[in-house]
Amino acid sequence: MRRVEQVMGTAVSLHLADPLPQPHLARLADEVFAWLHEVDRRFSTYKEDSEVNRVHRGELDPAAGSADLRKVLDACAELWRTTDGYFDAYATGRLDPSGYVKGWSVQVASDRLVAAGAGNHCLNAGGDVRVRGRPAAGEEWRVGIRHPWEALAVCWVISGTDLAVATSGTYERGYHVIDPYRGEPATVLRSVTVVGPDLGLADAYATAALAMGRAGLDWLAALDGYESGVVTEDGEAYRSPGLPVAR
Amino acid sequence: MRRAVLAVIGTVAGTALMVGAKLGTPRPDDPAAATATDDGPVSSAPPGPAPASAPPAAATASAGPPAPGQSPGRPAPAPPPTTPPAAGGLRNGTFTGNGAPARHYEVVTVTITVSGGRITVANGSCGNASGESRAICADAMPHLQQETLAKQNAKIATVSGATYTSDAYVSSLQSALDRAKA
Repeated sequence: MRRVEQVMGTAVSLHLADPLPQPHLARLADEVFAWLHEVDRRFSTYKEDSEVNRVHRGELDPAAGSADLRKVLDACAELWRTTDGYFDAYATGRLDPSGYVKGWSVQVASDRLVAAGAGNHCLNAGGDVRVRGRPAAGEEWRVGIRHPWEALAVCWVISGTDLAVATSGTYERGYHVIDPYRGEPATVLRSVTVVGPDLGLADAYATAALAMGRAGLDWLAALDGYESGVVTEDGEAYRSPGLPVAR
Repeated sequence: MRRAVLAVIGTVAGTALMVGAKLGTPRPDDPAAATATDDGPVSSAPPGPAPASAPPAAATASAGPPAPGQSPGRPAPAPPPTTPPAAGGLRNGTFTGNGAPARHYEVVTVTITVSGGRITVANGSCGNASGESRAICADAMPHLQQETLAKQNAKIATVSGATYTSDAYVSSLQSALDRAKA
């Protein structure tokens, strides 16, 4: 069962590969998209009444917020520390945890699918991907990493049965990632992909490395448990030795 | 994190640098080993009677391809004498050395993961090192390897890329995949 919906300002593609009855699969898909719409309502900076905007305006004390809100804000604070300040939910001058929320929400949705007995699936939210299990017996999920200049080509193919794959890049929405130390857009790296167990972290690490510029290459190389592939604005490609590139 | 943090060991910067420098040798291309941070033997560890206390020699910083702007082949400094590991070899687990100010290298912190008696992952931080210290330290740290930017049209299930807008999705590769398989 496959479904595509517009959520969070992007398109989300879901592929459920388990041989479950169609109504059951449809219900699981409904639940996935209901959750993602709920996250959008609660965490979007574009929705006037979102929890994030209420915190931003001082109307909501984070400590009194929902468990999810606290979880997200705690994760962002922890990421600020582990990325030497380069993942900064305040980089744009206001609270904006979007760099973590999308990956986190997809990870939660994928975890729920596993718990519901649908352990073979692929969920892709605007380029942030969580795959689990297999698309078919004996096959692995093959995730292409978009070529940063060729919209219809890929520059690596990653394969596996349990992967979070997040990419931050400047080629879709321009130089939108701010280096929080300079207060200016990061322009040195064109595309950063991080692969590992958790999509929220992978997404945030990719954004942080993009913000770091060339120093992000060494920072990524030292990451524990997360592999990476980077393309610079100059067209140089780098990857960690453990990146699960398909043969 | 899923790492099993079993202990914190003290170390000196020299030792830490050697651990980092040797990364290129013990860290195999096999992705399984690079993520093998759980206790237990690592199936991808090279066979043979390699001493469990240390990876093979040849510990120069040129073990991996150097990043641009860094001089390749700079030998890692020799380690000062240290207490040898227990005779039984390395214990499984993840160990972080205390940031150690030593000689010319300022504060260096290294975390190693031991699995099946071998170091499978080593990460380091050059701390506040600057100038030549920083260059030497950085050479000893793991690097991403450079390769030619590829352009493929391979069989794939999905695409990871920078977030597209709802409008841009229409002309994306992911959209083509979704339409082809709908």
